[in-house]
Amino acid sequence: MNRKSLILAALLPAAALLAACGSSSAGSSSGGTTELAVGVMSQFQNPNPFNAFSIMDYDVEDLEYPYLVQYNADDQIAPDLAKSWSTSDGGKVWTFHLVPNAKWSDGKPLTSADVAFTWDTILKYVKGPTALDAENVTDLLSVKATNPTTVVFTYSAPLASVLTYINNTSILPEHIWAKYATGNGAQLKTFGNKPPIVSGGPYIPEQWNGTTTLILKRNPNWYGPKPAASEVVIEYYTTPDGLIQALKSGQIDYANAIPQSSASVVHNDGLIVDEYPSVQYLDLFFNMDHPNSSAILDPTLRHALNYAVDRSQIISVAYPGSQPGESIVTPAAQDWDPAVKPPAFDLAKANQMLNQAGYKMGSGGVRVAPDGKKLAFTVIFDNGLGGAGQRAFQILQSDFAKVGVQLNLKTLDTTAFLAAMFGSNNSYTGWDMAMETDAGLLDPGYDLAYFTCADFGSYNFSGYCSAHYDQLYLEQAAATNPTVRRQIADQLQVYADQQLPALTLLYTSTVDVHQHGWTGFGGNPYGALNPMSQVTFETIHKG
Amino acid sequence: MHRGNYVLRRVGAALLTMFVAVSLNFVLFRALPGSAVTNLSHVPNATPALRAALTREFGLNRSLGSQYVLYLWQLLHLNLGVSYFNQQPVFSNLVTALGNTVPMVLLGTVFSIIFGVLTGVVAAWRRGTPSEHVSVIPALGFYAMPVQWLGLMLIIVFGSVLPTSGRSNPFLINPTPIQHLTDVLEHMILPSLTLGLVLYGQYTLIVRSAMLETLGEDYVLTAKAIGYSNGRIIRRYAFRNAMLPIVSVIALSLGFIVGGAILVETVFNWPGIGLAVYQALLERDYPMLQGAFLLLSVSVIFFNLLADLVYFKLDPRIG
Amino acid sequence: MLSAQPALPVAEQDAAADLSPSPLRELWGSVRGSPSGMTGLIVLVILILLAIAAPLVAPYPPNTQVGAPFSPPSVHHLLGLDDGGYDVLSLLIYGLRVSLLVGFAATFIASVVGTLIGVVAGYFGGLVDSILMRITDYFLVVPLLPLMIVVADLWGSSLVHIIVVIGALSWTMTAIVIRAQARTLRERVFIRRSQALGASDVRVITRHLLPQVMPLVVANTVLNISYAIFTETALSFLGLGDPVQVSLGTMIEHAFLRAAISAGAWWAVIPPGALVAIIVVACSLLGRTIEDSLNPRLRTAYLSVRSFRMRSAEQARARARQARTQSGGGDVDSPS
Repeated sequence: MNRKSLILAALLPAAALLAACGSSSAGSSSGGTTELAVGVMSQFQNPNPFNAFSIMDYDVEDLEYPYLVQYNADDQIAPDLAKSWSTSDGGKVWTFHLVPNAKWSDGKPLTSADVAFTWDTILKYVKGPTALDAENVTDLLSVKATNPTTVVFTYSAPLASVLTYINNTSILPEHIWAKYATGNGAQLKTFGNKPPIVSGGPYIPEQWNGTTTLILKRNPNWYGPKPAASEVVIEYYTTPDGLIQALKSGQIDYANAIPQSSASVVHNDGLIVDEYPSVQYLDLFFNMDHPNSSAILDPTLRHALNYAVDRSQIISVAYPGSQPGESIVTPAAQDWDPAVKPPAFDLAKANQMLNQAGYKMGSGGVRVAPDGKKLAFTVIFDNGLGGAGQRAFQILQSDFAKVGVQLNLKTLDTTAFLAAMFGSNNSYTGWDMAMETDAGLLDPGYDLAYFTCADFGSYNFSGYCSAHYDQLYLEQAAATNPTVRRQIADQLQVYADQQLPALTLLYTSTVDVHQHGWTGFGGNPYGALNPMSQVTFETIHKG
Repeated sequence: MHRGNYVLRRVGAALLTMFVAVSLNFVLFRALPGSAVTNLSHVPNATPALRAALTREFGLNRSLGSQYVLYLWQLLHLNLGVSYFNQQPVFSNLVTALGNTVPMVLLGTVFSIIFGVLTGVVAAWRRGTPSEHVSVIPALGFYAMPVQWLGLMLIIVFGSVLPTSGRSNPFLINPTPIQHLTDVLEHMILPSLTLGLVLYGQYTLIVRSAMLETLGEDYVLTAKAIGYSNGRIIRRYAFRNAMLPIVSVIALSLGFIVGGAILVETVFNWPGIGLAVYQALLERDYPMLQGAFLLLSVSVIFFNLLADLVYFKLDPRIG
Repeated sequence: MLSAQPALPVAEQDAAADLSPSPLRELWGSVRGSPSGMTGLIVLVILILLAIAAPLVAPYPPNTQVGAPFSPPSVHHLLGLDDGGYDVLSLLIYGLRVSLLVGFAATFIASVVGTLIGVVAGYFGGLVDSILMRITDYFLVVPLLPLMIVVADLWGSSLVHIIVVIGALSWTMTAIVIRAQARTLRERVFIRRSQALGASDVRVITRHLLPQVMPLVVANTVLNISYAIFTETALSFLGLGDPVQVSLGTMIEHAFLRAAISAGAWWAVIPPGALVAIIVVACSLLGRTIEDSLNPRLRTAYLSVRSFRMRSAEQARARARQARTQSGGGDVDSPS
């Protein structure tokens, strides 16, 4: 995460001066244009930010629209359109000072009026067309533009995640969007916003073929440092083979987030591979609400099973390059507690714990609980996990069998999986365990929220509900002092590890690859091209 | 009139089948658990407000009956709904995709017909000789290969000389029309070849069977006795007999062009209807899937009807 | 697609298509006499034996990592390792087992249902025939992929579900072909005679009609097996296969999704597809030999002195449809 930070920090001011340095690579450098060809495996589908869905939708949004703040190369919140900010009234009022004389790509001024317009629109239609941004206006009372370079946000209560919410929200040009923010606001979602558009970020989406290819040109009016690449072409590949061939043949300069299992394939070809810990993790969730088998609710059983998980084998077979997991917060997120460590893989200990807890070995090698029921559990599995997930499950299944626990698999595709997991009216019935990946953001509030009662039917995959946990969580959410927040976050992670509503198997990695001809790549859990900052584009250059 | 009667009956039956297919489509996709809401509301910053808003937006809070009526009404206006994932009308998505599929599939079909007929004629005429085996065995072999696997094989063999992904080179900036055309054709070679290879075998076998039947007829023996050349016999008698089943197979096959060879397009990343279906499948984009399968069912029924009518025209004894 | 056709007069029936006393034995005779038919049969038998004996024959258990992913072929691992580090040769043998199981089971369902419906429709004719053919038409237009998606979403995509779905949609072809044959045979003199003596319909069907139809059923079944196996590979490739089982189809899917080609691991890609091709060729050779044996005209191509009418339009269309669907089947592997 912070590997390249020192180098990048040093390069940051120099980057703008170093234009085309060195020999040609895949991107063309003819007639004064420096082209960066990017290959991705997420499809850009929705140019309209109110319809954004795929990760590429968010990545492109990050390149084309200004944000008040962004994450820098150290994954800390840093200035963007807002060059400074302050809080008052106990953290309820935030005042942002914008970069003066900023312009949109069509020359019109980019001011606090645009900021106020965007946030007002979201607030006004939050029950309908702008519902996608509902979370970002949590507890927000008003947004006022007091002068062309000052915006004041007023909240009803102090919140720890204000800057995260601000970072999540792009600023739209009022002079383009105002006419859609009328009536019931339905037009906000039906407006196509197809390239070429009026942009306020480092790049302007110029041409889009509707499916695979998006061409962006450098925005001459951007308020930030001039990026080295004058043109960026983003090409979508449906298969890892297609992407890797394009890399090897030099057709693309940089591939974002290739599958982990393909990292070894590209190592030997003179390409540079960067791995970043991602915010995604693979878990075996226990049903803490209404499992089929009440044995699941026994904490000793859950802890015993944790010893029967061979994390290193699962990683080497299915998710090479990942990190073994235990805490519900990922290492890539802030406030991860490294003291929460996974137990060693120890089948003997698991067997011992189960024996002592009174689960006698029964016929067919399956243990029997004191109430007479076999330890045969129904596991629902998201098909979207693909071959890697299947292999991980097979390893779990065979290891659990060695401690007398039988796992019966039920595979469903993602939509059906979610429906089955939540059950009708969020009753969480019909299953004992669920295998699924999940992800938060850099702000630990997301990972922690996934185990609150309020997240039933949304991101709470365990049906876990504890008053103590919820209370701690609320304290964390209101803790504007980072040190205090960290302490509470640690407490939450330790508590969750004691309660063990889920077994965190591993934290995945994001793998980026680029050609030798380009340098200056840095990245965050989403890679160099990501939805939370455009810092990479300020630092990369040829040579 | 007997003829008119037959035509009317067939058309009527086809329309009825189409209606059944359309309704079946609706039922199948409504039977699915979860919906747009379950999937679309699964973004990192989702809230109950988002789910409620999406439910209203997609009309999922209305009764099933009124959804069905709305579905039929929209169909009549060629409104196939809006894709969950790119918020664009399904109909225009499909039309664009179809425009990419047709040339590629047509090229493959033409290759398969020509090559299949040639090998079938050789196999029938040279029956019992090594030429027959040389014609039939590869035909059978390619016909037996799973098409996605053959595609992967061709990538392995030709990957270094021919493009294996996409419809055109995305990094060819501002090409002239000729350059663009050449580029697209280059990209079309491997997918069309894959299709052509797995399809030609059926024509080989049909032509061979049909010609063998005819070659056993009296009048062929007579023609040989009279002294007509082999070529003439083949063209005027044997091959004519094969026309009917060939035409039938072609007409039936056309119904599946719309299906766009899902497997071929997936392997070669060809942006046609097949790839659109594959991606809609991965994302469970139900309106897209529903629209694509509607299109597929209707065209199958339509081309089956066409095949029946053509067959009837060529052989009125049926009616 | 097919409507009730008027029966053709008896006198115009094939003189050569006499009813034989033991059609199955004759069938065996003609298969034995054909080199291509015997080749197909022997290959199939070998593969079936291999599949049954999988646990004994396979060098390694199929779901155990035995080395680094994508290791090339070596003395210990003749076909190398796949993306999970599993032995490809072992996977191939177990995968053969699963694919054959799907092929046989689905085809069994399709043949039983299709023969039943075809025989009943062909024998009784009239209203029964119309209704059954209408139902067949509607089943013909049910698209495979959406049905499989629905089944997979509602009940999960297990082997059983795949078998049922393939069987439920492929019986139609059998029904059409058997019906045509049944209609022709219905007019046979001795069936009429049997009816005149007061034999019940059921007796006539089971003792007289069914045995005569059997060779065609066998041919059709053999050809359907290859269709079923093709369809399973296609469904697996699109992610609708049973994720827990190893089949030839899932092996191809894994290789595709895990960039085997880019890794240069041709050994993970080539064997499963090649094996499918072998199975299908064997089935085709056997099936076509049986079909050809039912059609004596093909045997006497140049020597014919008899005059034969053109085969009925229905049979020709049914054959065309069969040929089309074998090249990959329905709307999954289209156009074909």
